[in-house]
Amino acid sequence: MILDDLARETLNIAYVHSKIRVYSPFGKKLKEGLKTVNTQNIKGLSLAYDRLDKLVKAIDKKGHIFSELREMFKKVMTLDQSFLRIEKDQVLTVTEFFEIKTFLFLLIEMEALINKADVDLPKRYQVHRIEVLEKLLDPNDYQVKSFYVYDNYSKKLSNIRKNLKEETAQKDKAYKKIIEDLQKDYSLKIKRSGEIIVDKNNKKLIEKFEGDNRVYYQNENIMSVIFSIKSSELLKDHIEKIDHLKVIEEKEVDKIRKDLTLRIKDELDLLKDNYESIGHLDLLMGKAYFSLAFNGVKPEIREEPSLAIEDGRHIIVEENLRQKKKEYIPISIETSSGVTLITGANMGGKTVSLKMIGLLFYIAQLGLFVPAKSFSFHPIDFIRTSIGDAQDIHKGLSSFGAEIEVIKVATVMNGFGLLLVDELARGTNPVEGYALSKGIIDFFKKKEMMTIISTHFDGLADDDLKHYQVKGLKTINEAIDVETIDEHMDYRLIPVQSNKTVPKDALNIAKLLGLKDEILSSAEKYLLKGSDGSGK
Amino acid sequence: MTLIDLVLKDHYKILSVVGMEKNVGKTVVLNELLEQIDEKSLVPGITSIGRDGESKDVLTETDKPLIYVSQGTLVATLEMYINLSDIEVEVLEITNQVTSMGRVIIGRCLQSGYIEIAGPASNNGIKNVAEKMLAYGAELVIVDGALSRVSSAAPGITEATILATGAVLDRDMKKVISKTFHQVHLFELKGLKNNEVIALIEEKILEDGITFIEEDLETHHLELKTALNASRKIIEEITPETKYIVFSGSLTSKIIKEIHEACGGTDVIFVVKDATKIFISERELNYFLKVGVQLRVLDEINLLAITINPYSPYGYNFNPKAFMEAMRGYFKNTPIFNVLESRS
Repeated sequence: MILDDLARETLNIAYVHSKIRVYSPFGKKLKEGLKTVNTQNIKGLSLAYDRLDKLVKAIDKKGHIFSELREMFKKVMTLDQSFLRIEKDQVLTVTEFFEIKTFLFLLIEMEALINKADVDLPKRYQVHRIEVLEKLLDPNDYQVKSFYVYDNYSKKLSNIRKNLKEETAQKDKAYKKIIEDLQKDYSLKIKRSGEIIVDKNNKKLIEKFEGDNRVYYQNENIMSVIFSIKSSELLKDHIEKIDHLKVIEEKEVDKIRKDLTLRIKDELDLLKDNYESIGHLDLLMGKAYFSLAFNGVKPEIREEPSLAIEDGRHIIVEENLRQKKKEYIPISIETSSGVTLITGANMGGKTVSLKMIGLLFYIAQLGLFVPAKSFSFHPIDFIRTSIGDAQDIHKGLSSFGAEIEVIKVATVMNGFGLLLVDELARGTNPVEGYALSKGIIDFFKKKEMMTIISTHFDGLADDDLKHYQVKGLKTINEAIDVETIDEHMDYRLIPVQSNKTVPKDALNIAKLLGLKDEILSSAEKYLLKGSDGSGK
Repeated sequence: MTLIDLVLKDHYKILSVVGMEKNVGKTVVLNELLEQIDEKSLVPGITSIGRDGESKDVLTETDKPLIYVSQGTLVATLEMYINLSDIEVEVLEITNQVTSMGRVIIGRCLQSGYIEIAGPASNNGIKNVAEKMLAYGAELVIVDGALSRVSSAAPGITEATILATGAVLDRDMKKVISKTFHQVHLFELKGLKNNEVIALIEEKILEDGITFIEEDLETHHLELKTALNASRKIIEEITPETKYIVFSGSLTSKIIKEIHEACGGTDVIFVVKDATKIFISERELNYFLKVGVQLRVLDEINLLAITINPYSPYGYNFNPKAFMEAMRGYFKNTPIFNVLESRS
């Protein structure tokens, strides 16, 4: 579906995307690339709805399982870099093994959870544990997710470590013995570091230490002389052995890391598949939660280019009203190729209705369920909008200029699409505006696209057009103000059969809003004379 | 009594060590503590407040010491140090603490040896990894903290703090004592008593800048990266109803002075996260307290002990006994230890 920036802004497309929540790294990547389905792939769209339907029903039944699953998605770490390194035959680090192991453990939990959820989804959404790799990274079957290069990866490593441990213990023992002997000989407490600080005034002790071949003179300052245990000399054999063992340990560890990386490479496709499946499932769940949150309905796809919305809701307006504890009045409309007119009172919600139609198309073609009682449509190739103030900001054009720009582009567009125009030609004088509107309607009547136009002009409707009218004010007796007018307005669209004139609610509303009687009665007089601004 | 005895006596689980300056022997204190923990057969956890600045700064100014850890010690340090260390470390968790030099990892040392420790750069991060190490089985967590305005400090979020000072501060022993005394004086700043205000501040202090709280707990916020040279803007925001001015960053004497001069007589209370965020001289502090400036901290610092190092790398030293005696004379309530003295 082609949508320019203006239409995206007008229809608040970003809001829809922001309400699809994903948590896994690959899910986020998929969401970034999320696009509407194009009209060539109607079959795909239909399958997508079926898939979503299954999931929505499963979530509805076993919500707790899916909330748990979402918590797990949050724990999935980004592995793309490691995958790339494996492919390039670079050796993974211990922390990378740890991440992969954490991922493997997550797979076990996820698979079990998804089985419990008992929802039949295609392979792309399935998660399976990889036992070969579990065994590889948890060779002792400890079932803990921590990781280091375990001794039993090779006989050699376990021998080296055993020797290292013994040698270190012997060295420590020998060192401890030296310290203990010194402590006994001198009645001094000596630190693990082996430093001995002797008061300079204690000449006798200094002499004694100087003659002791277990220590050497290290340093001195005004107050003291510092001796240190000749550990590198006394423990030379141990230290050399340990150093040697450390070197071969490191070499062996490197070899094992290389080997482990290669063995992970053998299962890399499985790892990646699972990593991506989690992302796909994450996104599908994001869509399902969207549908549940906005009480969406599974759309019906029509063969012929037409549209029927029953009780459709504009989710942002609905949300705003909910916050003010007000109720949203759903809108129904049925139309097809050609021009549809929406007429009706000022403040009658025509703009919101137009935006809603565009938004619902977008939502449906994104593969989501639609906030309506029913939504039956033929997918469209594009949406163009000339609605409200958004257009004025663009290019610095006047609202009339911007409108003409939108319509000009629409004239050359082909295929089944949607053109939404709010208050056609409102930015110019009524006489010319009316004429221009007629011309525009005549042109778009013959096009395949659906053109939906709201207008105040009388007499634009003819028998070739579908015509809807806002039901309008429920009451005209009480005094009202701008803030509460919505409570008195019935925003529903009612199909108009005959070539009826546009209702004259404007004066009523102005009156209810408290405009001076003098102005109103004067206006009434002009109205009776027939100068109603339609140019006729 | 040794340092570790002091810690165990009050059952502290998270301890920080901060130095007045470089070369006051902080690393000696850390290694000494670890040795003492080892002697008590306790499992230590160790982390260090990282520097989250440009890597150039980190490379040239870092004084992160190599710490000798015994087998079983838990560490919270950068991924690169785990991979670089010549001891084997079991990776337990990759935390969500990320610094400019990488991710912070919690690991268990499988061998004894040297490892570099650099943990999260923020107080909250330190608190987070310290608590995690306790959960993984550490019995006492040591935080290598810092006292500087570039990085945050750690004492405020640990249960007790050891302050390291030494001859390196000044050739004049009296000045060393006076500087240390001032720091301890700041550490003793009282916390807020009003729980409602504390709750409110804890919610707001995360934001950069300055928050003004009125008597009726109405707040408004001033976006400022730091409080440095910003007194004019702050003064404009102060109303007769302002009761607390909360600084998320540092508070300098210049700001206190200018605000006090401009709004003298009001009983507005200055609040900072903890005492390490205040930069004023001893003389100024005394003056402010005398004229009725009210300074409060959110996190009180519990000073457990002071360690002294009578030697300076600049080639002069103090008589250790005289230094110790002089220190004890000034700090009657705080135990003093000479870090370089052999225990007997």
